Amino acid sequence: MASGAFVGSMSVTLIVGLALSSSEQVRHTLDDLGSRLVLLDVSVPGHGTPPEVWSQLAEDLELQDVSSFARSDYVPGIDPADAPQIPGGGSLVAWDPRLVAALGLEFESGGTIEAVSVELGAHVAVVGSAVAARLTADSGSGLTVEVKGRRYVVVGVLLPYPALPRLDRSILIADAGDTEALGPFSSEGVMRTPSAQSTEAYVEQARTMLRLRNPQASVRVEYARSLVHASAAISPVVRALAYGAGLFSAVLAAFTVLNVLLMSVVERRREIGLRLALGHPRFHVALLFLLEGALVGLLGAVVGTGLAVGGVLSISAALPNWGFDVSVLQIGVVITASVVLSLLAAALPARLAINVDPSESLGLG
Amino acid sequence: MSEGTITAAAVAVSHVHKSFGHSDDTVNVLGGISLQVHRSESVALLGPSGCGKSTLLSVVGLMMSPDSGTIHLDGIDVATLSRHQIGEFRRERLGFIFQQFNLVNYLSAYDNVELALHYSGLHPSARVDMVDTVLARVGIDHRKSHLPLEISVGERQRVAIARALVKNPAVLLADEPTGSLDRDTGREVLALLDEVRGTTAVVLVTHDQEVAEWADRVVRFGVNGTLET
Repeated sequence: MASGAFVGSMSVTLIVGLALSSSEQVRHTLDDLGSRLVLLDVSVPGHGTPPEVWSQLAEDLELQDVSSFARSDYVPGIDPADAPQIPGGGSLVAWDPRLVAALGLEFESGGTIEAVSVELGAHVAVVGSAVAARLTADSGSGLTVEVKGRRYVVVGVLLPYPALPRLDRSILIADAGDTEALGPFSSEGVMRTPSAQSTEAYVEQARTMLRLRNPQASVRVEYARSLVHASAAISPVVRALAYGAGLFSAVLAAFTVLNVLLMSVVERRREIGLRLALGHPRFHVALLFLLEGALVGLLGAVVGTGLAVGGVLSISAALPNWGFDVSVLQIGVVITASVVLSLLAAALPARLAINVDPSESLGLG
Repeated sequence: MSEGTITAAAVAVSHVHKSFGHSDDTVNVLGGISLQVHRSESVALLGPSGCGKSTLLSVVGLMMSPDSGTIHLDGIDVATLSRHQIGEFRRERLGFIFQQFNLVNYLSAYDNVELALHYSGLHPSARVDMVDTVLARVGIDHRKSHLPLEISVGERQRVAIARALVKNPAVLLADEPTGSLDRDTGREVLALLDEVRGTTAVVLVTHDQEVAEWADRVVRFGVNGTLET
């Protein structure tokens, strides 16, 4: 009888619990990453920054997650007609294999340049998601992109990377000959620090070391603020979705309780009439249904919460780094809300019950 | 509770009218009925189905209001009673026996009888004594833990009679109490009702002449919801 309410309450707990804990976790993760990921743009008038600068910096700072990221937002000498038509323009990036690990890049399709370029013996590139969306596949060779009259086979398409949106609009080219032909590139480095608290110290050290190497260099530091902004944007959305889904489930559960009790009034019409004929106070007859509603709500919430918490713990065990968390307060709120909603839903059946005509329901008259 | 006009009769119905339906399609069920039943008297209302006898029982049992006329029960003008007082009056002074028994199927015979003592204010131990006594009185005490569907039809009516008698009502209203029973079982039920004859006012509705003859007085329903004299 109460299965609907069980399901409803369980859904409320499960959806709200999981979504909120996920939301918290996502926010926490993004905040942390946003504070640890730093872009270092070294600009030396008339010169590029050789890639080995970044290797040296990684060594000096004893950081593994330092890689050269990009070269130029708008490569000199490239005819705009050769570049893909991307809103906001596109970038050519000199591929650094360490980028994958440093940024935690993931591929929508294909893989890294070095994994396939030798096999193919062709000019190959990895493209960002926005670039890929603008390309059309050639029959036979798949996705290709043409830069400066040279056709590149796309061996990998990156997933969108909210921290560095310009990476989505980039074509990453590995071949040294190509990069020289397309250069000079002004280098940009990506540094990921071990903790948010140590970021400032690392930045200062990096700035000092880069200037020591080239006193004329100007070093611009940029934090991956977009991650934080993305986090701020995502959190309310996830939260609203969670509460929306929870509210929907709660309303569904309330309707289930209403339906169950309406059926009960119909089925017990004769008994209700008998109780009224025997002089039972109407309020007590109403109380029968209000209590039944509350009990269904309570049982539904307890069983539903139990199942939901079990589910959360199981998922938590399977994903130890995710850190799902359902608080006692959250459980209390869900159970209380379930009982209150069930009581509200029981009000109409209770009212119908006390208005049952005893003579009609008992077959008199 | 207001006492209103005190009468000697347990039931005093005066010029009671009751009709159903709307203006164009009105059925006059009770056409100005007057009836008195004394405190120790049993009266049978005899008539064919649909003549209005059960409606009169509902009106006397305070489960239906008359369109006009007055009703005194146990000396009280029931028109002066509030909805709450009507419930209280039914609980304390009226007993009902129905043709279909109207037992609660998920309650035992004992609990069905005890249902009539809910909200009586009696101590639980007193209630236990009263229920056990009345179950023994109607010869069903050995079945007290059984559910209604586990006992025979005749036993069910005994439970229903026990429920009606357990609170020693001033007025016992019985609607076709033998209507669902075979003749022998019906006689057994009437024999049980003999126990309250002379101490309780009984209004019994029936269309069976033999059952009607059990009562001290037989009142026949005539046409248009009137009583034959």
